[in-house]
Amino acid sequence: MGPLLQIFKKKTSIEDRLTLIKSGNMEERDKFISEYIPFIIKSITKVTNRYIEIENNDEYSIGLEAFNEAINRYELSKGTFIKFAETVIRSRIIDYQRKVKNVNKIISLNNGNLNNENEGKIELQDSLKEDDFTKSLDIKDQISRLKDILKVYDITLEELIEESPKHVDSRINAINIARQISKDEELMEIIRDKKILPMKRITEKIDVTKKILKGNRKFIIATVIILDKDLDLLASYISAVEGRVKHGI
Amino acid sequence: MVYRGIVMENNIDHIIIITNESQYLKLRNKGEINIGKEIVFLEEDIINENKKNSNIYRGIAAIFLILILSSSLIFPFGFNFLENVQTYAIVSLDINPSLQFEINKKEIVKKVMSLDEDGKSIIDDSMVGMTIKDAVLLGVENAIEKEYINEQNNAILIARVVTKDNDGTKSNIQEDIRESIEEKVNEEIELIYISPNKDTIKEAKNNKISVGKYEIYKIISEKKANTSIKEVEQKSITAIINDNRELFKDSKIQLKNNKNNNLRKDQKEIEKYRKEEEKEQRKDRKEKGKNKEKEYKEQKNQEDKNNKRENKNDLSKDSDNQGKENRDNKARDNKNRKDENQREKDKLDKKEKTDNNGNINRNSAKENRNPNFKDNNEKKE
Repeated sequence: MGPLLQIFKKKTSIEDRLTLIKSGNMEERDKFISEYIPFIIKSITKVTNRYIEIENNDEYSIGLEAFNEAINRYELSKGTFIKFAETVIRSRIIDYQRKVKNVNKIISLNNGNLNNENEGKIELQDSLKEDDFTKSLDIKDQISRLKDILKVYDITLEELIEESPKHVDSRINAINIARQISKDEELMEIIRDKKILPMKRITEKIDVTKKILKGNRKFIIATVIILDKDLDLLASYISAVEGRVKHGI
Repeated sequence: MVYRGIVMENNIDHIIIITNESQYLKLRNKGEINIGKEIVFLEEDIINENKKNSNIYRGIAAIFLILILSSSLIFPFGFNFLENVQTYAIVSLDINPSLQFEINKKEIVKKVMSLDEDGKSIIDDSMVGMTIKDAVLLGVENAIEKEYINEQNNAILIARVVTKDNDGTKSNIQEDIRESIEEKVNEEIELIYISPNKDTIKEAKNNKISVGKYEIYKIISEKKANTSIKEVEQKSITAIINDNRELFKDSKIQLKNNKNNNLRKDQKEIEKYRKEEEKEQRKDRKEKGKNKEKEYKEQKNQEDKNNKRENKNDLSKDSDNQGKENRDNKARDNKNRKDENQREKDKLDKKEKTDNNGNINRNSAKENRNPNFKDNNEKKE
């Protein structure tokens, strides 16, 4: 509801901003679009009824284009802008889905004929996607490895959801602690052998209170595992947050 | 706000992801999604279980609020609702066994507990929901039946403590209980009534004795410094009163003999007669029961194991017959008893030609007594 409420709050100024954009203010247009990205995503998922994958973001870019088109085509006589934009996005996405469906149909028919020529075509398409494909296999493999190791430590993903620090700052703090622990061989040996977090030892070596360790125990163990076990894709993914906050993004 | 996350697990009703901010989250499941895929999602997709629960609690709280408000709207004295639930006073009954009742403002028993092992035997589940005077009466009757109250041991102590300071209403609980015991109990009973202040509740609780006994202990220990709580706890009320009769005369305790002496003797005779009768009846019943049991056992031995089902049917029939016999006996006995009572009554009436209120009370007490006896007999079975 958050983004929707925001939209309603700004409703009074939407028309003014649109006239400003139409007069050729590109900066305002970019700002406007980026503000309405949650709305665009919501409009897309309303049609597709599933999450938008970043790796396969045709839908997302079509949605953005449709929104841009809606800005250009909007006139005050067409009712509220939000409703207008939503219908534009919906029709563009439906058009795209129809197109994809048709392509699939043709391929499936050709597959049924077992035509050599077409097989070649498919191979070509696959090879173009290979880089993406291996990467997605890697991350899948890393996730299943992480889950297996967490099982040994008797931690479930559900527990991680409930017991992870909720605030970004405290999460970054916990990741930082985990990083320091993962660099300390002595501590890591205890963790690997006993499958526990040696709180007393850690408080002696790292500047952290027992309370923080206790409260975030499972999250810290999970993060230590990610950093320790060569789960590089996950590691780079979770540590991105530190860099982003440092740079104020 | 737009979030990004990698799918870690997909279940039927939810998926688990780790965000690019290293947060583990549960999302609503929409269509097919593979593990390892990075997705874009919005705040509304997140399943927040804690939030859900708090909504439920809020809902429940709202329902209660509505109930309270509406009850206060419908009844002009809305706070009656609370007063019915709250413990308004504690009433203890000591004979030795000790019982303690928690009652609300309308003097309905909310909770009964026994403070010693003997107390359990005179507790009755039906006491909760009764008025306090009926509950006390039932306790006294049970104690008579179990012979905690007899000729030597005939003092009972009733104490009432109001749990709150602002006790605007004056209770006539003491009079009620006295009247109902006078009406319905034929034993000679010494009734002692005290009303300690509310501090006694805590102190008594700490010492695990009834509020009545604790107050007694306080009174005695003022005069006799070497009295211990244990002594008071273990002694029966009769013994305590007899030892300290002088003490209690000056204190706020009222001693009341509920029967006229002349009448008492006659009634005692009747009572004795009744008791003997009852005992004989019980013996008879027991013997009958034993004989029956023997018969069953013989039957069982005779019959084959294969015919177990038929056996059961026979047993249930037999027990039905037995029940009928017992009931017939009882009816006969009751008749006899009533006739005898009537005769005794006539005698007494001749003795005392001047009618007074006490006499009327006694007659009504007798009439009430008989059905009670019936109930008790049935319960025993």
